[in-house]
Amino acid sequence: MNDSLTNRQIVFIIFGVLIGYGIMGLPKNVAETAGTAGWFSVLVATAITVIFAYMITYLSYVHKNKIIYEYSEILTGKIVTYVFMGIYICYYFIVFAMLTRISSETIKLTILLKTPIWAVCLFFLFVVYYALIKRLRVIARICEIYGIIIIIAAVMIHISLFTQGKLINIRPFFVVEDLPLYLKSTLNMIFPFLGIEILTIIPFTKKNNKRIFKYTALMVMFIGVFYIMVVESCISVIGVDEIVHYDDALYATIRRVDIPAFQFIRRLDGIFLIAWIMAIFCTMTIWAYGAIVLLSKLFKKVNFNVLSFIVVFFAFIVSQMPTTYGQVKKVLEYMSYYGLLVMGIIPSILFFITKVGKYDQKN
Amino acid sequence: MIKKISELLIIAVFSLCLTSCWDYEDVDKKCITISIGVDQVGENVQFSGEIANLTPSPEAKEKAQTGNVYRLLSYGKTFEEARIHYDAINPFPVFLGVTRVVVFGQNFAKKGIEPYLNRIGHIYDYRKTLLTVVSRESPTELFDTKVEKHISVGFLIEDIINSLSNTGKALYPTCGELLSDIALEEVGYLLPYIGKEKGSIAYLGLAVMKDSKLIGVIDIVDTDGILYLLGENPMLVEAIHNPENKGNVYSFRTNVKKRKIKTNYTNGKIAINIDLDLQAILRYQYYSTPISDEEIKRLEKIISEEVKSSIVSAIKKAQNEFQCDYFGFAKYFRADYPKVYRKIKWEEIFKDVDVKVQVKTKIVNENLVDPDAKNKY
Repeated sequence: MNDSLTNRQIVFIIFGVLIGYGIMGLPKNVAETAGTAGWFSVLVATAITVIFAYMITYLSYVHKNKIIYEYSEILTGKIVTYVFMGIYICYYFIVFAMLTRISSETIKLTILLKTPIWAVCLFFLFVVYYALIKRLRVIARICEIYGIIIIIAAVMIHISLFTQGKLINIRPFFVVEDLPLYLKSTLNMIFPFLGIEILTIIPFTKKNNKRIFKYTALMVMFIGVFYIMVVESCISVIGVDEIVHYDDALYATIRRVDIPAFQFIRRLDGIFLIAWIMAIFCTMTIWAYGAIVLLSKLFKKVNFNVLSFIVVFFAFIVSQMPTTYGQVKKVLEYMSYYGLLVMGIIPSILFFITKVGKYDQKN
Repeated sequence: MIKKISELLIIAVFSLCLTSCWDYEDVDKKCITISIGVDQVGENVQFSGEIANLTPSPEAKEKAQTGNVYRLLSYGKTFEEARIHYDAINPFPVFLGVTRVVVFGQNFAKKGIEPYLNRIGHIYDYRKTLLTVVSRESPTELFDTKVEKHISVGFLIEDIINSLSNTGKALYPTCGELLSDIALEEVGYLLPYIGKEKGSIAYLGLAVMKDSKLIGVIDIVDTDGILYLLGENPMLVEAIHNPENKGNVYSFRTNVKKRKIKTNYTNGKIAINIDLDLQAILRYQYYSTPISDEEIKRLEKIISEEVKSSIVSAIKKAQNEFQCDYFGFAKYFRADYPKVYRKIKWEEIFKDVDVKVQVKTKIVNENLVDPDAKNKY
């Protein structure tokens, strides 16, 4: 299976998986937990994520041409690996299903008011399935192309938001006495970075040289800065007191702005929705790929396309299970705690075993 | 062959399906609302406004001057009841996505407009950049005004306020901005105040809103001080009388180059320092007389004094007459002293806050006129 990727493709996969649904409510969460100094919490969370990203990249870099299933088996043995794989598969699958549902819910509540949820979910899943059967390299290419489009659109939108916002709304920038509060809220800020663990299922080859560490760290830092740009531009328009009322803070902010100088695109929500749907499509596809690729390691005899179909089909059923938007939100909230296990704890265990067992030197 | 075109076929089938998805609705099957009026009549909330007439009647076609809108009127004890009545009399569902203006009648504004602003904020259809104004006359009366140069009263109101705000002579508060002010709780806000003057619709000044309730009106001639502080790009005219030659008047156009608001907290006393750098352009004099460099300096000082006095008087009015911080000074104080702000009740303290205003003016050009021209022959 030729699933090797270039360094650039790998970093865009990180961008694709991280920038997704979470960005919608990010300004609200930041304002709620740390007020106008939330940028600091995001910065600290970025630094912590860079450490996780380093550990995960290191595992893939040391164990060339292997993904977590294979190197975990070498490091911890078969039984533990099965447990780990179970944890990862459940995680990727549930997040994939719930992301499909919550993104469809958001689309229904914002633009397609009369379209049933199942129809939006189904439409998403059709496209995701089509991308999945083309395998990782195509998904990575989509992430590259979409990533660039998303970055250009986001920079344009958020610079426009800054022009409409007021500096006074984002002050005070920092209150020294509130430092413990900011550090406490850092934990909440790590959740938007969940997804970095996708690197565990991307096999590195000889093509992926040492610079990959620099690239992944830089991409995580870039995403941190990107998040700060999103948060600050939204708070500058709406203000910290009001933004906390909106689950869809980013979309609510964009709807607050009307730039006559842009003529026919004076309302930015059209551009935003296109870029956002591209972003969630990348996120959903990568998450689904994570589940499928690990399942294909467990069920080696089953064809990849058949597995993809089964996963997408069950994801559709699971995505329809919650009856309300609140329930989906709750599931995703629990999944984000679960995420700390797969992003932080398991890779840390494997990283330390690699180091202690000196597997890096053996390879 | 089929394999080659299969992807194209899939795209084509999806495109065809998408054209008739659940949310599709023909434009002429919607009541496209241009303006909404909300007022309190007795115990009832009254909705009035204008709806775009996409299929004009034969009589309307004959009359070239008739606007392509028809009026709406509905009422009920709550917004929801009024909406039920509205739906019961209209052939198509309402579409608020292109609504240009919401006009609050005085009676409703005195009772409080926050519920309706929240309605605009949360109903999907409404643009959050919608203009909100208060009307001296009831909105019904306003919408019945015959307008010659516009197709509707709603468009006319929005265009008046928009053109004034673009030239720095009025404020254009959008619904979104008002919701942010309401969320801060400690500040009030100002809305354009409109009414009928000699048969036509006119901008009359600013309506003062405290706790989202109308508590007073500031006449258009007294709004300069407010615009210098709150306007996006205030560009105002200052007419300066020549003290030596009373008949002569210098007409200047001023604009704000820099506006700095800082707060200070010492020994439990709050002070607000406002620094304003103005640029002035001499538009013309009533009678042309030479102006020396000394005269220019003197004029700069006079303009500064006049602007300062209009700002001070606007703030005093807010502190003493209305006891409401519609300038949003609370935001500046919170940014400078977040810890202190959490402990005080700004609404109560505002009236005793010490405000210091400093205005510096520079006359940057004299409109291509040589003000110190001398006959040399």
